[in-house]
Order: sequence, then C-alpha cells, then structure tokens
Amino acid sequence: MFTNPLSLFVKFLLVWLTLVLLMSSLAVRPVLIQVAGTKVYLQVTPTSVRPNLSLEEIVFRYDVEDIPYAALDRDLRDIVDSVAEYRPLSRRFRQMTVYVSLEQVGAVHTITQASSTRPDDGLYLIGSVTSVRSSDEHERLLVVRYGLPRQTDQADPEGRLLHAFRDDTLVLATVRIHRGHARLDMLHPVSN
Amino acid sequence: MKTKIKLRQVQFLDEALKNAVEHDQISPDQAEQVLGNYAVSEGFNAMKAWLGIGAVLVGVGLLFLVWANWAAIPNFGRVVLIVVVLSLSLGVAYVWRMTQPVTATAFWYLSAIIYGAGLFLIVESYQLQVTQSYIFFLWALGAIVLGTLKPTGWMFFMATALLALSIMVGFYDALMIRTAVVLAGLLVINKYLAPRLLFTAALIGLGLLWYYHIMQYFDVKTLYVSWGYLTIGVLLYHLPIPFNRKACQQLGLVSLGIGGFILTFPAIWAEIGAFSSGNIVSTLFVLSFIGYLLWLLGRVEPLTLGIIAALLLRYSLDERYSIALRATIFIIGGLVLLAGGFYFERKHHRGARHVH
Repeated sequence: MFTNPLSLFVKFLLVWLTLVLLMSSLAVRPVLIQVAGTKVYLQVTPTSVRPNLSLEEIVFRYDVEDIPYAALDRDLRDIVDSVAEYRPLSRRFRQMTVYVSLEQVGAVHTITQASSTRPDDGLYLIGSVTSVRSSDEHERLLVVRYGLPRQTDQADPEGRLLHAFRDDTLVLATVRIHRGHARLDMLHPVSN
Repeated sequence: MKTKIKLRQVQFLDEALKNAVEHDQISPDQAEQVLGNYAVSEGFNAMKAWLGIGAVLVGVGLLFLVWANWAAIPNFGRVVLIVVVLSLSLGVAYVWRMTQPVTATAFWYLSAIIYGAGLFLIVESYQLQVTQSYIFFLWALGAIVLGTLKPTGWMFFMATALLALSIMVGFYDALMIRTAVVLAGLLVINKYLAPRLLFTAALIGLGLLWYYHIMQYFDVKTLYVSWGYLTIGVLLYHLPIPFNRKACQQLGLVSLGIGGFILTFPAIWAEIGAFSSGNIVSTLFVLSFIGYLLWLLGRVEPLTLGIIAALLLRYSLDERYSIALRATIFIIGGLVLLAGGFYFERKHHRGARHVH
C-alpha cells in the first residue's frame, strides 16, 4: 500500500519526528524540575528496606508524612468527615488533586496546609488523595501520594539507611520541586 | 469507488455474467461494466500473517535483548538506542514500500511496538513518575500518527485498544478529557480516512467503556448508569445515523442489552429508595423490555435472541424462584429461541428464493 509517493517521504519524516517528540515529551517535566526546581529536605517515614537483585544497592520504601486534620481546608475536611472508618474512598475522592503547602522549619520543610485549590504563593506539592486513616491518637489523617517514587534503589555502602530503618532514626529526602511537581534526588539518614 | 469482494465471489460473478451473455440476456459491454464495479479484496494472506508474526517476534526478541543488558547501558545511550531502532524500522517500511509492500507493512507495525516499548523503557530508566494510563495514552497517540501513513490498516484498531487499556488501568480527571478529545478525533478519522465498519464498532465500544468509567468516577448509582446504557443503545439503534449504520445498530443492541439486563434486578431499583423492594417496578420493566425485544426480533435482529437468552438464563439461575417456575422459564425460553430461529430461517429462505 503506502501510496501517494510525492509527499510520502515528508510524511514518513513527520511521523518519525512526531514519535520522537512524543517520547521526548515524557522528559520535559523532569528536566524542568531539575533545572528550575527548588531543592528542599522532606522528612520521610521508612516502611521497608531490602537489598536489590544485584545486591549492589538497597530498595528503600518510604512514605511522606500524612496530613493531619487540622491542616486541611474545608473541602478536604468534608471529604474526611464523610468517610466512615475502614470504608474505601470513592473513586472521585481517591484521585482528587490536593495542593500541599510547605514551610521551612530549620533545614527541613514541613506540611503546613493542604487545600483543594492551588495556593497563590509559596512552595507547594501536588498530590492525589489515596485514603483516610486514623493515627494512634485517633486523629484522622489524609493519606496523599505525590509525584515521587514510593521506593528508591540507592547505594548504601555504610549501611546507614539500613540502620536508620532498624533504629527508627530520622530520614530526610532531598527533593526538587517546581510548580508543585517533585523529583526525588536522594535519601539521607540523619544521626540522632 | 469499486466495491471490494472476495476472489471466489469475483469468479462466481464472472461466471454468472458470462452465462448471461451467452444466453443473450445482457451484452458483453454490460457484463464488463458490472464486473468493473468490483475489485478483489486482499482477504487473509498467509504471507502477511507470517511477516506479521515475524515482526512481532523480532520486536519482542529485541526488547528482551535490550532488557537483559539494560543496566549496562547509560541512560542517554538507552534513549539513543530506542530512537535508532525506531528509525531503522520506520526507514525499512519506507524503503520497501514499493518492492516489498507486505514486509514494509510488517515493519510499520513493528515501529508501533518499538515506540510503545520505548515509552515504557524511557520511563523505567529515568524513573519518571508517569502513570501507566498516560504511557498507554501516548502509545495510542503514536499509533494514530503511524496510522495516517496507511489509513486502511489496522493501526487505528491498535490505537483504539490502547486507549481502552489506558482507561482501564487508571481513569483520572485529565485523562477523561484527553481520551474524549482523542476519541472524537478517531471518529473523524473513521468518517473521512478509514471508513471501516469494524472500526466504527470498536470506537462505539470505546465510547461505552468511557461512559462506564466516567459514571464510576462520579459515583453515579447503577440504576442511572443502566438507564444510560439503555438510552444510548436505543438511540444508536433508532437514530438514522448516516455513517456505518449497521455498526451503530449492533453496538446499540449490545448497549441496550447490557442496560436492560442490569435493570431486571429488583435490588438495582431499590437502591434509590423510591421503590421499596423494587420487585413490582422491575417486573413491569422486564415485561416492557421483553416486548421491545420481541418487536426487535420481528425486525430480524439475531442479536436480540442473544439478549433474550441471557435474560432467560438469568431468571433460570435465580434461586429466589421455585424450581417449577424456573423450569417453566427454561421451556418458554427454549420455545422463544426455537421460534426465533425458525423465523430467521424462513426469512433467510425467502430472501434466497427472491435472489433465484
């Protein structure tokens, strides 16, 4: 088939170019974050750690802290209030976009407020609601996932991450943020 | 434009026309004119199939090879490798388009596979936080772009299937709008570039899937979702849609069948609280729905027999009814299906006699 030979070469070329551009489009945001992003430290909670298949690095799983009820805006509070305990969130709420404002306290940035609308200024992270849970103190927390990997393969020659997980010490993540989108650079255990 | 028919049909037509010319029923010119209205369709081609399988095997083999040595290649090298392999495949499709058209087509399909796999590999190597839905969406876009090179091919089906996958693996606000826009674009392509009946059917199927997911997203009650399916089905069947009407009607029957089937369950009606147990209203619905299906049966729609059979099976297996009642439903159902089959056969014979 492939008729119309006159413009065919140009057509093939255009198709090839479009495909390459579509593939490259995946890299636009990461590059923007890398170039123009603000570097911050976020505290994370380690959830599991194990060596990867090649045994050269470790696979470290972590969570960014869940958002306390007091930090939620009215819309998000309504969602949390409407959800009975242990009942899954409806699909609409489960994937709802949340804007989490960050504020620097010492070297670390912590969550100050979460809202359903984009903040006018300041540093913020874009996330999506995944569930509601209760803390040990029976406080209702909103669990949000950000555009960060939930696990990372990282070299740990001195076993510091491994110890941090075992001893429950502080782990900080170096994160670059640009217009709410984030990229994880590295994890650092902080000795007490 | 010539109508494409199978080689066997052309041979039969040729024979019949020669016969008519010999008996002086038509002139040789007229016979030539009639035959000129038809062209032999490509149909199933073993060579095509072999080359197609070959292309897929090469694609999968290459991917495994790359995957096995992936860690040893630096990130930028990986991207270069993907682009080079894609360019080679597309280049071969271009160079061989005249001399080896079937092989060229196989490489054209291979390019789509390499492109899709490339998306996944790039995301994996750079650890990009991109959802699988979005990757499938980008793959579908690529397949559409590739499809424009040869609009009569199956590439648009691939794009439709990839869009369906992207909806099924995750549906979020941005994706629902994007998919709707691409679906609309595909409908335009279907109308002006690739007017295949099967493509129309696939697109309507995708539309119905999209509708289901959007209803799920907004937590709409099953009763309303089912009524939606029923209404869409009835509209698709009865509206005088001027394009590929057969596909619209058949998918309309599928849609109204799904909607009607779900609405036969009393619990679905009770869900909204207006009907206490839902028994009376669902019975009334079933009676009118079966009446409508029987009317459709009269319009020689074999698919309605399938819907009726599904309904009968549903009642026969419903343990809330006594064995005697369920047995009666089986018998009545069997009789309806037999009568339907008899009716269709008579219609078919009548049509055949008319031809003779």
